[in-house]
Amino acid sequence: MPVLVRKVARVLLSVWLIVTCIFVLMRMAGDPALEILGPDEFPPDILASFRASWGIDQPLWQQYLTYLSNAVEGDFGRSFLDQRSALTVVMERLPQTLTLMSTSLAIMLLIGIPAGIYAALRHNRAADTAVSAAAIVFYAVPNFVLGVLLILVFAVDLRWLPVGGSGDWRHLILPAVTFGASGAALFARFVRSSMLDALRQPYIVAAKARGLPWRTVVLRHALPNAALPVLTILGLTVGGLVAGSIVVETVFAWPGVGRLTAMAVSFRDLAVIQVIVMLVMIAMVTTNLVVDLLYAWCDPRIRLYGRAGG
Amino acid sequence: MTDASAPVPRPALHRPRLPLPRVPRSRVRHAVLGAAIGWLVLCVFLSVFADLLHLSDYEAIDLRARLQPPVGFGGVWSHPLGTDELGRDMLNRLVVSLRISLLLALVGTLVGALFGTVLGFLAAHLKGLVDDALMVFIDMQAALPFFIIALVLIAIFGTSLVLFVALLSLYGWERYARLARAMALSASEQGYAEALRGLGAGPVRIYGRHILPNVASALIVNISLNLPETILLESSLSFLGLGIQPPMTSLGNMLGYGREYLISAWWIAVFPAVVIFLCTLAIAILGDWLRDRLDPALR
Repeated sequence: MPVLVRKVARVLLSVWLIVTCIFVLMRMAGDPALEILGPDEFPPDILASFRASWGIDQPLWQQYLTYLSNAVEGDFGRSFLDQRSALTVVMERLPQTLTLMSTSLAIMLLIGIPAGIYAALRHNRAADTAVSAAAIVFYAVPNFVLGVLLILVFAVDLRWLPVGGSGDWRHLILPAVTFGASGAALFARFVRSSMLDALRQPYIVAAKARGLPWRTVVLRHALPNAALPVLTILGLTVGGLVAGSIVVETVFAWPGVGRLTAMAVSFRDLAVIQVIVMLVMIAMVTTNLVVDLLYAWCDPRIRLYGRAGG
Repeated sequence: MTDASAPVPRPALHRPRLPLPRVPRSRVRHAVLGAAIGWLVLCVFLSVFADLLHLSDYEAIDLRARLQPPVGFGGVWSHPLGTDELGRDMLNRLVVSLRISLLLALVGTLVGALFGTVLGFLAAHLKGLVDDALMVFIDMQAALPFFIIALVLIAIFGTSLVLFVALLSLYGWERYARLARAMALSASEQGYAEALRGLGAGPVRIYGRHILPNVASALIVNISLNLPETILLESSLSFLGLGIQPPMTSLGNMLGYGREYLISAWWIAVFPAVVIFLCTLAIAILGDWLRDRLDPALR
């Protein structure tokens, strides 16, 4: 399947480009020895031994090759903060983040998509107005604002739920709701508008004229066509999930990769950041590939590669 | 208008009205839209004329007047919205923060939209190698959420204002590019683009005059989503302490340090939170209205 091969090749190319960019940027930023050890005066022999232990005394091309082969093996060095392998530090926090993300994604899809379809079918009626208004409001609430407000109401004031941290399911509720609200709103908006577009198409009139039941018209004729723009948004939402997890995990002190990221950036723990970048990149690239394939599968009109007749 | 109590014979084909008393939808919509525009105008006005209002001494520290509550909660009129943990006037800081946040978001959104749309059209039109090359760039950007790219650059180079402005400007370009490309591909399969090509219209004319208006509603929805998102990106990074650095201030920055005083001095966090929320909400409402206006098929 040549389309798939081309896509995979492009994905590998972009992964390689990103890895190379990070290498170039890190070497551009200055002497890593001084960056890592800080601005304090160090005796030259300590600096030299530090450079040797990090391989910074090698020629640049050799550093690059070492960097690449280490990256392939998942070895990005040790975390400056707790001296363990950066990969271990990130991986032991991953399950927490995945739990939070999957719960939030479920909230987004299970609330957003039905709400959008319902609003489109009730176009310009009270239900549509209500869904649209709620979608606008929840989309506009920044997740850290919503998080802080939810903490104030449900944790500080009512004391129903814990303020932060992780443990049983009750710790999951506030972060997941905070996280999922804006995504659900986004899906509701896009599903609604693409459903409205689909419902206005002539083939809907034709389907109705053929006497098909309304349910069939909506589910078989309008929905697949409306799914197309939604797919694009779904692919893009994964990025939002990653970004959101950094903020939400920080607000709720959720011990996942997101909070680790925020800490690693403020302490400039570059080894940990590289592992996180690789991890996010793998997740994003896989999602985008799947979405692209689904896109072509859903809309045979778009011939992405060459216009095969018919 | 007909009197609701008088039985007015309706044409038989009319759909029966809901038995509920109905507020005219258009009036509510106009009120909401007016409020949104009014809020944005107020924000822009305050941002532009902050100096004339003598509100710009936002760094003045008064340690004797620390953590004063706002008026109505035990505060005094010399600090209508209270003071923060260093005794700085909340109202002054809010206005200055608003100015910085709005300026950054506006510049960032417009640059990103222009850049991305043009690239998307180029990729769709030229196809082949150019399309592949541009898609690699889009893939590269799409392979990493922008937030991560921003964080990596901040981690490597440290926090700086120049880097921050550049990051906000680059934010979201790949989304416009993907959208413009996908829709241009789809549109050029449709009859009208083929017909125009047959009539001898050049690509600039076809894309600018014919395809752009057809995809404009999607792009404008994207802008209306992107502008609040840029405000959010700015405030999120500043909230995490990685964006605008003290002594400069921005809405996210205020909210970030205000969070530490949430229980003892809620106003430090709540006022910037409300301002961010109202701004993004107002822009979203305005964006929706624009979409309705600009998409003739909806009317």
